[in-house]
Amino acid sequence: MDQHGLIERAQQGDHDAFAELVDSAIARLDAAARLILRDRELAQDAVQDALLRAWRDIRGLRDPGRFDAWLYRLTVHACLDQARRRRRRAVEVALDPLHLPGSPDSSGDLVRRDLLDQALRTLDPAQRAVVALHYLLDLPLREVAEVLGIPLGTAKSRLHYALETMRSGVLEPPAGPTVVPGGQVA
Amino acid sequence: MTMGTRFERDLPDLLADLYPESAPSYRDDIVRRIATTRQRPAWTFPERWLPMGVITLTRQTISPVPWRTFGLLAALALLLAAAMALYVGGQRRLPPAFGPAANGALVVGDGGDIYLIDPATGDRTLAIGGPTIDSDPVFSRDGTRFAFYREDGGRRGLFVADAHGQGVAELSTTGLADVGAIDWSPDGSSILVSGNDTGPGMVAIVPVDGSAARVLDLGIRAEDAVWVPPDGREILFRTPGEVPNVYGLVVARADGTGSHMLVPPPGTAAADWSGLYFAPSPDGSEVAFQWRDESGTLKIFLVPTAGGTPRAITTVESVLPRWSPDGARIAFAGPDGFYAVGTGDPAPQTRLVAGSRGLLARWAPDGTHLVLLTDGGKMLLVDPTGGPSVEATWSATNLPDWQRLAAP
Repeated sequence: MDQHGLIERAQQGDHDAFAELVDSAIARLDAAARLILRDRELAQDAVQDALLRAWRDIRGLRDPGRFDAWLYRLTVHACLDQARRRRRRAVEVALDPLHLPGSPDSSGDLVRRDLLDQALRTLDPAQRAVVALHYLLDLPLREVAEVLGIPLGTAKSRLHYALETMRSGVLEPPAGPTVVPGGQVA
Repeated sequence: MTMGTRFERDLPDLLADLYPESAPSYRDDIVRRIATTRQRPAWTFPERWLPMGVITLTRQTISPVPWRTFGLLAALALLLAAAMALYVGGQRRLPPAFGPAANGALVVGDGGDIYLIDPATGDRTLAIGGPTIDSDPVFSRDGTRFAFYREDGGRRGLFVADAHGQGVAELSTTGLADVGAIDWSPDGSSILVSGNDTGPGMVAIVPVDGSAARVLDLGIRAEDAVWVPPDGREILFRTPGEVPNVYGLVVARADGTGSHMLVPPPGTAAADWSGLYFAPSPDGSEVAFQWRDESGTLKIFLVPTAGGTPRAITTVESVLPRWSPDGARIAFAGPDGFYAVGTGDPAPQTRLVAGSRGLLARWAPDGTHLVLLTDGGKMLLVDPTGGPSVEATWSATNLPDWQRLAAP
């Protein structure tokens, strides 16, 4: 059954249909939430909140064609809620460790990912949300703005800042071991 | 290709490597929880989730108008505007911020412009026009001005104009994101703006003199904030709880300090507070809100603003409480019609309009009737005592706001 059919069935209270919608979306929602929150457990809580809310409120969804965007919106806002709660509680949470080999002779790509990971840490969750929606979930910037409920100009400026931060982090890494061609560390 | 553009090209792959998609282990847990979670009935959504974002406002192509006709129309418009100005401007005394008042003009956003409607004649006058998208006008409590949102080139700002739509001025909203609700302060010096349940949960006080907005540091997420009558020393807002889909109502001082949970009261088991709509009474002594009772039925409850035990005042499934200006009745929507209930004890309940014909309603300032926007886009004038409803002589696609005037 296509997505529209599943949505209509879910709107009539069909749990199985909603479970199929969950199955088709949960992996990408989880990845986006992990990027925004950089914490696996908080991301899990956010995705659970978003999907429960989606189930609860799906009868209010007027246009089934916007289901994915609606789900992204619920997920991003659940993530920002989690981030806000984390900040309020002032609890230090362990950031997701990057699964890089411990040896210093990583390949260039691994080092770039590590540098990117470090650069992402310096962004706030709202900036990472723009990155997640645009580069991970592949939404055009106009839809990113719509999902986040912000003007297009704000989305552009957030993305610009995030890109500059990530680019400078990856292309101009902080002082440390120098990567030389071949992936060796000098 | 520069390093920068190559970086952007590679970024999706790098991110996909960092955050790979894989079915998480908690999928079954979610499906189990869904099986025991009730869905919110479709009729309880005041505005079913609109296709997001930019609602394309199709501007009609206007055929060439002969100059004579145009001149005549312009003169008529000027006359109407002048009449409206005389009508509004002639009211020197101001109404109280809350409680009954005389009925003035209606203001409504429609198709990106803002119109004033004379409810007596149905005459509709363009108040704010032009290429900008202007919407959501709300009169100040003394009826002398209205605030509205303006979108221009992707930028959204909060503006005020006088009651005729003249003297438009932008207010400072720098740093505010995704705010929608507008609530004028009782003294008319500022506007409380806040987001709804999908925004960032920000509340700010925006002075109407153009000085900088102040975001309140509430320490918690806040939605749909309003001033508590009669003096606005406190504000009231909805906040999501730690448990998903469970909300509470919070009262705080207007400077953002002293937040305390009004409902659920301490020791009360959290129910599913889905779609928690609320409204303070005109004298500020009580708050009406919707809440599921033990049987799972959404009902309207009252709780003292100072805190206490909520009491249900409706018996049918009910949402969206609206206080009458004198505080004696509350109008609400039910699955089979539009109702009013007395706020005394016992509270007689009357169905005013049969059938599920609409949810969005507003009391006339004098309390003699309600205007109900029906699902079919018509405006019904509803008699709160149970008399027959009549269709308004005017129409609008959105629910208008009603200007308050001093009683004669």
